Amino acid sequence: MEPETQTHPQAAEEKPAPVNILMVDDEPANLLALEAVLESLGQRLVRAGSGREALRHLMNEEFAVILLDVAMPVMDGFETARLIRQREKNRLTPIIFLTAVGRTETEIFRGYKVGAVDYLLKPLVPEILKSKVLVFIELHNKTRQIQKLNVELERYVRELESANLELKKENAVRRRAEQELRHSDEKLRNLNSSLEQRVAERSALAEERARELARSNAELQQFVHVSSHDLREPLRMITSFVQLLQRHFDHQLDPTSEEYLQYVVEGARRIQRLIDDLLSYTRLGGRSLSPETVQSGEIVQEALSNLTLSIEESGAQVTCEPLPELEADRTHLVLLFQNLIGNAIKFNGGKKPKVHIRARAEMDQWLFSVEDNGIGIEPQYFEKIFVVFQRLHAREEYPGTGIGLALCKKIVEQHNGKIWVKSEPGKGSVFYFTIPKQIRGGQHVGQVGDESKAV
Amino acid sequence: MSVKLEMSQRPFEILQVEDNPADITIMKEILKMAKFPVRLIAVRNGSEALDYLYHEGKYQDSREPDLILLDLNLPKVDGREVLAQIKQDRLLSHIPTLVMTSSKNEADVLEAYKNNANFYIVKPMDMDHYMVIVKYLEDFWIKKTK
Repeated sequence: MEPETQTHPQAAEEKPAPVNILMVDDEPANLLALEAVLESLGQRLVRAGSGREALRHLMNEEFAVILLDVAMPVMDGFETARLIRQREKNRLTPIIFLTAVGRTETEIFRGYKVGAVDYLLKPLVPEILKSKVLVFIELHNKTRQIQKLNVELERYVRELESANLELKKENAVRRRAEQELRHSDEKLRNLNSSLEQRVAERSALAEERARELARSNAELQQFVHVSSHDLREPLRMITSFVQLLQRHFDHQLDPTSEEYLQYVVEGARRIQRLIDDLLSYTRLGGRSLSPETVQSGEIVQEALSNLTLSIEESGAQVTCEPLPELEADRTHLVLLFQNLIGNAIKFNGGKKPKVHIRARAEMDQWLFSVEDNGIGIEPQYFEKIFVVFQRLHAREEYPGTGIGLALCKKIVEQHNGKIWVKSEPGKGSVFYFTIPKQIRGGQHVGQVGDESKAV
Repeated sequence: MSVKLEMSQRPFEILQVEDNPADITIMKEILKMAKFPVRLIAVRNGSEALDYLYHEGKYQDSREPDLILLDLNLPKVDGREVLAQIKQDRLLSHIPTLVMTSSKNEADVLEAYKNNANFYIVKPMDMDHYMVIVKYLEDFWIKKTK
């Protein structure tokens, strides 16, 4: 109990409330005498003239101590004490018997037996009476204090318990939350892994598709390549033997037959060009880029020297601004410029062709342009002209196979660039194309695209 | 098989290894325009070519040709093998051997020169080009050997 009082020090220091002291005597003078002695203790003194009255008081109030006269009429002290003790509430209420001197030891013993805790001999000695009663008052106060502490303790315990309960509840909630978290975590993991699996399946599928595509593309290219080669042979026979025939009948044939033979030769030559272009077009797809650092100015010069004949024939004026150094496939780039400049010269509409080539650095790419003063292109054909075999003009007007620009597009796209045209009919065209400054990593071998339409 | 024989001169003999009869005809026609007498002997595949060069089988009486025109894609023994065999054999390796094929394939060109072919000719599409070849043969090989 000590530690409890220590935790509530103010309870011990408080001045305790007055306690009730029950005085039972049939002699009012005796009661007065008791009162006179005990008054100074500052407690509440309750008088009872009989055992019965005492019991009545005890029913209503709590008493710290009972001073009980033994010799009373009707119900003596012993009887009264017995009845008091019967009541659970008063089982431990201290009773001090007041007895006259000369009573026997037996009486005293009997008093203890029915529950007296002490006795006092009459005539009473005030100091003794006071000090004895004081003991019980203090006892009572202590008890009350303890009870109070007990109550507090109980409340405290209850609070603790309820706090504990709350804690337990909280714990349970947390545990549940944790469990749910674990659960949802697991769910998430499951979901994630199934997602990953699905992604993996998808990309495996995509890879498989890409492989199939690449395979069939390669087969297609191989087919076109081989069949073009095979086509060359009979064609060579036709050309050769028609020419041999021409030699054979040198000046012996009538003009009509001569003309007919000439048609055969020209037709065969056209097929020959077509096959050659087709072969170079499929070769582009079948070959991976071999990029190197090239001077695009030199590339243009090379293309121009390949075009010497048509430049001389048309009297074309080709001008070129300083061009950059860049990473590209030399052979392809020559072919690209050769086709673009060749077209610029070819589609001149009878005017003397003027071609201007320039390049400009953009963020991460080079923008090239080939500008001419030729016949121009109607806007609805801006896309179409890059499709293989797409021709806009009669062969007699402008000869060609319809592969040139498709080839250009393929070359530019292999370099991860773009090609497009701006033009106004009658005023000329500007062909633009871009080549990224960094083309490595973007190399690819053949694409399914235009060539699939070509076959 | 003799082509335009001239008095005391033995004609210049060319062995053409070619499976396509049309090509043989063309070559025959073209060689008619040569300034020197040329005799064209044609065999149709690689194994016949080797028989001819080693005087075996039906070519017991064959003479060593002055020049060989060799097609690459041949039935039985391939032109590439014939070339390798000729250039490996000390008795044959001196015969000028010109590969004449329709293949423009770079790998074929490289392989031919690696095997010591003396020249690589792509069969022309045009008679004018054939004439260039004839002139080349005359200037470079026929005059030299004669």
